[in-house]
Amino acid sequence: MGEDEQKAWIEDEAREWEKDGIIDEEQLKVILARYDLQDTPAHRTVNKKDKTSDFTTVLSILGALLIGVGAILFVASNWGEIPVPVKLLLLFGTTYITYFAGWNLKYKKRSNSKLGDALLFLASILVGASIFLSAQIFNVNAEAHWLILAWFLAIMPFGYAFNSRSILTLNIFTFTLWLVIYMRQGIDFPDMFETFMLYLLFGIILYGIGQLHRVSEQFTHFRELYQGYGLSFILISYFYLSERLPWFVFYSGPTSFTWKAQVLSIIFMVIAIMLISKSVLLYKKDKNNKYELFVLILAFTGWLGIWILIFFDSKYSYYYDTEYTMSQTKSILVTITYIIYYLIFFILSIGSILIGYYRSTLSFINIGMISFMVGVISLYFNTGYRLLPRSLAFIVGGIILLLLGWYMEKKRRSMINEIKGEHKV
Amino acid sequence: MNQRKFFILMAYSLIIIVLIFLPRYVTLSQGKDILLSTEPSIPRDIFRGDYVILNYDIANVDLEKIQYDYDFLAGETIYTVLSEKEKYWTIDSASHKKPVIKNEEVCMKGTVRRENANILFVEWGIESYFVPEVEIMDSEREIGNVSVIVSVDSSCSAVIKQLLINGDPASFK
Repeated sequence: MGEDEQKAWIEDEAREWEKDGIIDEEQLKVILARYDLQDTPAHRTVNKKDKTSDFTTVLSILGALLIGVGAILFVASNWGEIPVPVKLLLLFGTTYITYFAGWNLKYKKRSNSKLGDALLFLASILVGASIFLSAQIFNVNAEAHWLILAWFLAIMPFGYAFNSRSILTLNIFTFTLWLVIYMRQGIDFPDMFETFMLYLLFGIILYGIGQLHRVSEQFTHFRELYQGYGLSFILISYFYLSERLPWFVFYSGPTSFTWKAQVLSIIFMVIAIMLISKSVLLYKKDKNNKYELFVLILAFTGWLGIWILIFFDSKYSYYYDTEYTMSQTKSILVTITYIIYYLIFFILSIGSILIGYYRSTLSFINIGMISFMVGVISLYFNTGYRLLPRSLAFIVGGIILLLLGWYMEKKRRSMINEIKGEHKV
Repeated sequence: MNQRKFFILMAYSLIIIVLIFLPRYVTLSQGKDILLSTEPSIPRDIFRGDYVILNYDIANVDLEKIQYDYDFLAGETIYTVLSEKEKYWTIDSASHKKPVIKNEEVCMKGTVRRENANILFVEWGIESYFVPEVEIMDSEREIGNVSVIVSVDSSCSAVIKQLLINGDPASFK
């Protein structure tokens, strides 16, 4: 096949891809320009414009966030000068007019989709403000968890319907907030252990949902968002659990799980198992999914291990024990538990960096790097300094951390540069 | 996204909000009003501002002084029958199921938060009364004898109608 024939074939194929929705018009132009079949689109050649566009998006979203927070504070001030019906009309009216304006800009006129996106995000925050205002009028008890759940439910489909990452983030935020308030409600001294056990499962679920998006043509760009949040929840939970678990093993069990935590754990566990099963099927179809599957299985196995340790092994569930028994049997268990869960934490941190590198996703690299550094610092202070005079330990520790920080930053920058280099090609 | 889909989405979110607050509106407009005695204190909610915590006399249910079907555990739903005494309404009996009530009685539904030596601490869902921020300090000074008019409907749900300070409606304008 000659060069001209090859170019003709590529042009035909690219136009077919565009027709089938695999690529959009802009991508078609870039592909054709690459083979000198068309001029490069103006905005592609001027990199500054891309940056300006990103900057506009960030500014619009931050502006929307500020207005939304302002609206919630306005509700909280409970300003008595405005009658209740006017307040209701004002807030609900503003909410749905903002939705309409956002939709109009993004979908109908298509004149300013970024501003439209920001307005849709703002309206989704205003839905929350409207719910809080209604709850204030009816004197619904303070810290009622179901108000946050109502907010989550009221905007649940909007992330996908409006194809908006910011609304999807708000969805994850509202659900997380609901989970915290729901778990703590009615408990005077809540134990964060059960909350982090749930967060770990929640992280696994988010990561698994992200994995499902790999096969979705329309929403594949949401994968990074879900998996980024999922990884964050998984790593934060493991960090907490690796710190607290040995303490529980040595001194006492955690306070018994509430029925709410048990019910939610079972529901989350079933969903997590379903998502892991789906990931196994995806892996069978495409072996490139092996890293994500590994993260899911390792994170879930760790959760299962803690569950088994706490509930099925009597050695771990003793609330009080004799000094002799603790020193003879539990000190070994403490060390083993400590090592295993720190290892899982570090493997997942490094896994996150490698997946980020492999998938060219900067956020995964950053999440992995930050958690790895926090883990090293924590490990250092939990173990090393007890063996040395304290002042010397801090000086040596400072030097080690400075060197480590310098090395990690150097490594991070080189990885980011490599990824950016790949994108430019 | 076309116009039809957009309006369906808007209707969906509006329906969710209306469904949540409609029962409270119905209770407030159709329910029977009762007067309860309470002791207030004033904290702040991060989303809805300043409010008065209402510690009702009926929040502590002494099972030795009333009739009840069988023992209650923390987290369980409790149904109580109340009747008007000299001034305030107080609890006559408690049960795990919705009771049959007479004309001069109302029933209220709550959740047992703690139980200690036959005394139950019950949450009724009417423990917060939201007030304007600027008035909070004045009201804190002024609060003396506080009582609350509560609307109770036939399904034993309760909604605060009016806060009374020394027998008069509390005004925060």
